[in-house]
Amino acid sequence: MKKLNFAGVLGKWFNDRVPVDGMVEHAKHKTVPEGKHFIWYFFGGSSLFFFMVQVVTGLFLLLYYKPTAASAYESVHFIESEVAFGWLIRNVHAWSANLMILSLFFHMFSNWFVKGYRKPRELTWVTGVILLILGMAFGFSGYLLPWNKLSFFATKVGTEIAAATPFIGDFLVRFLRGGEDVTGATLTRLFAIHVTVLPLFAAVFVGMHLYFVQAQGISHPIGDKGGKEMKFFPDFLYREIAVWSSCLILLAFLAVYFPFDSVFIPLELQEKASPFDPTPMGIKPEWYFMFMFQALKYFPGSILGMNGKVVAVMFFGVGALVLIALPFWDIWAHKEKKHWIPTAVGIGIIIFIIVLTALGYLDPGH
Amino acid sequence: MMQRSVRGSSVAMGTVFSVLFGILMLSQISVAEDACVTCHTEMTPEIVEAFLDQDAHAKQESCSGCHGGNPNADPEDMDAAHEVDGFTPPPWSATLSIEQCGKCHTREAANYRSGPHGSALSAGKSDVPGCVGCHTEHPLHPIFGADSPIRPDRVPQTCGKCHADPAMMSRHDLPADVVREYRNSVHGEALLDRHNPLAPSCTGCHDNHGTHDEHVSNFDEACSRCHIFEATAFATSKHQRIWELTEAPVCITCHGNHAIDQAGVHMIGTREPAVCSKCHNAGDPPDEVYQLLNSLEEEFARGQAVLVQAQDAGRNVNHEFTAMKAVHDQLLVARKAVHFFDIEKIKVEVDKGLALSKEALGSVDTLLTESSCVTCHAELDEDMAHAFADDVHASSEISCHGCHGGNPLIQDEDAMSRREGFVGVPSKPGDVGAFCSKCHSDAEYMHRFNPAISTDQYAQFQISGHGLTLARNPNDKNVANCVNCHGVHEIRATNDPLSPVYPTNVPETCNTCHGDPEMMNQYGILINPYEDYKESVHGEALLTNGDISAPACNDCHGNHGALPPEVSTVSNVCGQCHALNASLFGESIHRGIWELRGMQQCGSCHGSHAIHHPTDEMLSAKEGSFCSICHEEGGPPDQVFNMLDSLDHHIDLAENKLRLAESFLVSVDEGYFKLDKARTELTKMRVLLHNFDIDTLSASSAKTMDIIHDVNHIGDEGIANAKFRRNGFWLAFIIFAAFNIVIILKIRELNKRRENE
Repeated sequence: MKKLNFAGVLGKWFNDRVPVDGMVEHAKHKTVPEGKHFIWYFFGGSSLFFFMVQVVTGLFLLLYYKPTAASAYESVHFIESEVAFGWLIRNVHAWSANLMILSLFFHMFSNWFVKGYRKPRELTWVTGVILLILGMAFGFSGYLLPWNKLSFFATKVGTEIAAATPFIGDFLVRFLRGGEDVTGATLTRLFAIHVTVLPLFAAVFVGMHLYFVQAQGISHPIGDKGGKEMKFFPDFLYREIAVWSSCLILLAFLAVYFPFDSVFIPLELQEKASPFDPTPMGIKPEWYFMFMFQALKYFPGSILGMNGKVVAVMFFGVGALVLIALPFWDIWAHKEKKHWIPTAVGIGIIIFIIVLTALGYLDPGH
Repeated sequence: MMQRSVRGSSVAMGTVFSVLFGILMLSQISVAEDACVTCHTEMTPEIVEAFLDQDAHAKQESCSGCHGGNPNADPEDMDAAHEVDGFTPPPWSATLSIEQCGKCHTREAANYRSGPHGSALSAGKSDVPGCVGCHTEHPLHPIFGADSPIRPDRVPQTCGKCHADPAMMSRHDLPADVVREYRNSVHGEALLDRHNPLAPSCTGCHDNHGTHDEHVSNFDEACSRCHIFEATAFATSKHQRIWELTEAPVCITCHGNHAIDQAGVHMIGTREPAVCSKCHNAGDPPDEVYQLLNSLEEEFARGQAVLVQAQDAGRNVNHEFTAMKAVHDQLLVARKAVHFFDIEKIKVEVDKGLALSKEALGSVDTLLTESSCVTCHAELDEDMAHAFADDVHASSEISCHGCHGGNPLIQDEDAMSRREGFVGVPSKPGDVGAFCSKCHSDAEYMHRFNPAISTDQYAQFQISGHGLTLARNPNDKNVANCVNCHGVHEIRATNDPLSPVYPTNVPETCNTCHGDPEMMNQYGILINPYEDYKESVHGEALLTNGDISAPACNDCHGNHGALPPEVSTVSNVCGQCHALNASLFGESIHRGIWELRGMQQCGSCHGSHAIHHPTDEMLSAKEGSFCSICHEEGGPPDQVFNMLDSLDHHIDLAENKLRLAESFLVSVDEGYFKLDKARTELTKMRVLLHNFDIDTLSASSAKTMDIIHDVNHIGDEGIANAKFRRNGFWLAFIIFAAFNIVIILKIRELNKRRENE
């Protein structure tokens, strides 16, 4: 019998309890398809990276942030000016949030076009779309927390949209705001949602999403069956590490040279929010909500006897359903065939988002 | 059988009555034959007498009911009476009183324990009243007894034994003025002065035994016991929701707690001291509510005035007076409706009131337009009739006969007969003042229109330059009297921007005479102050910028008592606004010297009508300057100038540094805050220099310089911080770049290996 050294004994002890060998064996066979779509395989990893950055920086911010109307603004100011490297942590958190959403969009649409959702990966897609929605919910709930004028009024405007939800609109607004108006109660509950409810769901869905990816392997584009592959360990991993370290230094660069508030919030809106102020001009939601915000403006007041806003919210509801159900209505992909309809719908959505976002920023009404 | 049962019932009832009667008799007898009473009648007769005659307990209980002991013992045997379990001889501590009284008055005792008195007591505090602290003992009076300390109108006095004692209250960290405040409040006045039995005493809001401390939600509860309408309205209002969230109390936020004044329209609006101004800015809804309510109040006052006038003119308006009462009632409803904080709801009530008033006044309201003066004179002088429509007197329901006498209800020339009190117009300029002062010097009459109006105008006019000149020659048409400044038939209120005596119009009004060289030469008066004034800092503020707090002619010279200020009084005039400068100058070395030389205090440097923006350059001892009369070049004026100039320069430099730091996107808010402070200090120094004490100024200058140093420090720190961040980033960048290069090399190596494989 082979004599084991100490590390060997420990390894065996561990292996008897956790199937490490099985995992290693699994990892050895893990591959990533090479080819013209190779670059898109990095966006899942970068989204995960930004998410982890959010978790770590978020935990640091939690040490000093105070979620009350009286001290939220002051505590953020304190973090930025007094806490050692507080400015870095907060700016990285703010930038990473936006880059994560951006990365999620790339990840989702790239999978849309390479049809990575086809059998057996339908649930990977569904959990992915849920994660995008969770990411946007993170953004929305986190936006109010600095309690400056922009965040206050953007939340006010944002929650007003929820009022148009059919049947439960009024309840939803009251639930989100903790009352009739955006107040300290809204801050407390959005904070709770941001740091407990959403992370809980995110952990579950990230876990499921990653499990599916590991269990089913990475999908090949249609017609690429048996195509060239790259070993995940260590070939793809080295590339992934290079991307992640570049992302990290990019975050540091943005935090140092483009502090988030200074770049994105006009000076007068950086002041502390006060519920008694009139809504200032130029309140815009975050960029990833802009297309919805702008689209709402183009809906007429009344459509076929229904409130225009209600129709708009229903329109986006249907949009979300189309998105989440993509693997189920793209019947062609199941037969390993490319069809122009799903691709056209995807391109249509991208054009819709880009055009409305651009209109939103160019709209002089703001 | 039936007969027996009837008899049986009779026997039973008889027995019950006999037992009840026996108990009743025994209870009466027991007090009389009680060992405690027997003995203590001799030992403490005043206590026994007070107890038996006045105590609320005497009918049901004897001494032993509260104190224990054995009332059936032999009166000679004191030990047998006292040495029994549960005997609690006086004096009772507060704690013991709660325990003993609480045996029967369980609910009261439980309430007491849960209240602040109970908590203080259980926390071991002294000076806390137990039962007898408020109720007294032997006798303990029935609540509404003549000498009861807890009769509602006595309660404030009883509570005040402790709560108005500053020494005791300071020991408990409580305010000692609540009872005084209550006494002067609308509640105190109602209860104690007007003996209104419904008005709340202390216990009306605080409860009696629980005396619960005010808690936010309890205010609603306490106030709404009586003010149900207001509380219900408020409960549906948006303020209720806002104030609940901010955890502020509700009723007392506007009305106060102990010192509650008579509520009224004066509380509403965004001008201080109206309560709404705490949160609302000008133009907010409270202003609209004020206007709404005020319109009804004014309409009511106007209606009353119209009726009084009609009555004076001989009409029977008793019916209309009665109808006006409904308007008053509606006014009260409208005031209550304010608690909805809903303009629409308030408007509905106000509109109802206005409609009621219109109905109540009916034909009487058209009295003025039916006036025979108006009917005839409108034909004779259309312009006058037209102008009078805008006259302040017309809007106060004072028609032609109010000034000129006569009877407007008579439709022919008899209306202007002496018999009807016709006085016509003043015959000479000198009589105009007396003509107007018939009303304007009558305080009681004038206050009907405006409680804040002054009534000493004519008295002041008589001692003014104008008044004295007219007294010498009452026929002098050049000298201003009331109508020259205020107009004749188009007299507007002084706060009407079209009035010739509205602040922005005053300079031009005075200039009609004082700008006329021919007229002024006759009296030896300085000509053309208006041109100088127009160019001055005051003229610019008032006439160009429309700032009506800036002084017009009358603010320095007085209006009715217009007199030229003398050399010695100039600083008093300027000091009305520039109080600090005047007071500093008053203490300065210059004051005495300048007075000796007959020099004006403020005017010497700043001028009189042509006062320009003061500059630091005014401080100069260069030849030809004002200071050079006494000072040599390089002397104190130049030193002060250098001091201010240098601070100004350093502030600019510090600001540049902050801007530089900010250009690196580093926050230097604290620096800007301090920079403002430095600027304020510099402004203060420009005031402080009026006491001409170079040592004080030097100390101030050093203090300002310290602040500027702080600002510089913050700027430097910000710049250093920015550099640190950027250097730190590039260091990290190099490390990461190296790391990535290693990874890339590794990938190449792998690629080669894969190719070989």
